[in-house]
Amino acid sequence: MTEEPLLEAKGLHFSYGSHKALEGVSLELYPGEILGVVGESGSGKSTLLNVLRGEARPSAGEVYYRDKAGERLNVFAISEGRRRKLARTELGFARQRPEEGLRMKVSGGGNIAERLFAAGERSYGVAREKAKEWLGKVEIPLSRLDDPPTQYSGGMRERLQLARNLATYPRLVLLDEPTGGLDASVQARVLDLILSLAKEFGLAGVLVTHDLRVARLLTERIMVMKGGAVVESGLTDRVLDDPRESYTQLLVSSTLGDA
Amino acid sequence: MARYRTGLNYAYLSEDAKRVVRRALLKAVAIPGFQVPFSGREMPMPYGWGTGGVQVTASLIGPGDVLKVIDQGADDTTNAVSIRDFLAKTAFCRVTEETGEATIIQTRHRIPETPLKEGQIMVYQVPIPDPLRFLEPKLEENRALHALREYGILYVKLYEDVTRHGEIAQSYDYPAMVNRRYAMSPSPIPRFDNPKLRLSPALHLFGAGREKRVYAVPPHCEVESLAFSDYPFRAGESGHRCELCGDGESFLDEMVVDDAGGRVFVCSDSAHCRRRRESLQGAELPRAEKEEK
Repeated sequence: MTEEPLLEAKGLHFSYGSHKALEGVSLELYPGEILGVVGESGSGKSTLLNVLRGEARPSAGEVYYRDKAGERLNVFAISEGRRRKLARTELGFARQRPEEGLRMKVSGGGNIAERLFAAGERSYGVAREKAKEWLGKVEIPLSRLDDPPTQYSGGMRERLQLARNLATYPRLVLLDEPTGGLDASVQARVLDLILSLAKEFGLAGVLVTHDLRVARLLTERIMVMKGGAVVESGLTDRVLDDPRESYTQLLVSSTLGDA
Repeated sequence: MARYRTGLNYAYLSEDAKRVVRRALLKAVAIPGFQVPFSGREMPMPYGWGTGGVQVTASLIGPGDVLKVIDQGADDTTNAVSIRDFLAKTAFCRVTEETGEATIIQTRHRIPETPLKEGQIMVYQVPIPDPLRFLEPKLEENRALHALREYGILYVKLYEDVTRHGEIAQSYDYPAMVNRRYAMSPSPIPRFDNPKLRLSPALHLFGAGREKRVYAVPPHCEVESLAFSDYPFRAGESGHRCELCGDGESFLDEMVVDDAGGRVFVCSDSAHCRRRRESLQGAELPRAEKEEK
């Protein structure tokens, strides 16, 4: 590939006390690409995302991000202010539990508007129009614009969280189990939505999931994690159809139905 | 200097306690709008009654000062009367109801109608000093927002207001940017009084006793009330006149006057109202316009 990577991680280590959550994880992500991270609970997937988004500082290793201007930034060496600014403009982060990523007492429109205000928007009219536009994009009825997410269904909350994160047209999205608690039909719609939005905006993404079918559907490349380390990585179809490592074989064979 | 009739230290607080408050105040004046923590003392009054304001006033006051204390604009309400008496007894200072005569004005809820002058000090009793308190309850994140000037979140509250009420409905404690740097909660003064803070020749000091923080707006400082570009800040007017003095410009309180639901509007600033009535004596009052809702 001739293009420069958008996101690079080199030899990441992270510990919770004596528990080692990440042990030497490296990855590269190129523009327009979605990378899957799979593995069982406790394998370090969510921790990896927290490090990648600049929230948790690794005990060793570096994260580099190439910003809009083409500058390669060491995420943990730049100032906190700059890191946070990137996080609220160029980066989207969808949490496993959307309730934690949303303001539950603020209307759906207000949730989307918050991201716009954080990026410097100061017009009510513009913010409201954009909130409507994004609600439409994630297929939430406009009539729900002024309802708080407490009155939304689980699937709508997931989608509102996506809309809120995408409203500033980020270049990179980090998705932590974006369809975790959803039933099959709603899950399919959310996945479909993520795919089409990613195509529409040329998004790059890191998708964390324990669901191999989700990974198969959305990602081109995949990393299999176990105990904080990457045990296998490669093209998604190759890894899932022809797993090399015994852990991956176990993971694939223990999936209900076809992965 | 003084004969301590009360058996207490001058202005109640010990000299060390006052020094702590003064040091915090100096820092607050140096960084307009920034909340400076201080080790507040227990005062002989409950939290919520103005312990922060009293500590600030006690740290500044001297025997040559002239003190005015108002509560909701009035000099004669319980809170104002007791704080004024307390400081008069412990600091042996002169007290007044005249805004123009006072060197220190301690207040809850209002800025006097009479324009403030250079050399005057306003002391505010503040319940919740942080404008982000209810928006970002996590203390660490809250501090980061202030430190990095990330105030987008304040606009979410305004967005919800406009969405629900068609206008920015927050009518008191309306957040403002001080010196284009820190977002400030101007204590529970009405939005009507916010413009009086902007470029004011007086020194404005805010004391929060329970939260143990002080902050300041120094003289001639830029104070800009937050608003949207398409929903600008409005101070708001009542559309009524004072029943007693006929003033249509001042901030009015609505009062129920009988059992039949009769209501009148009167000036919230009692000293302002009294002076107007005295100067209008004999002349006919402008008619109070009553509007049917």
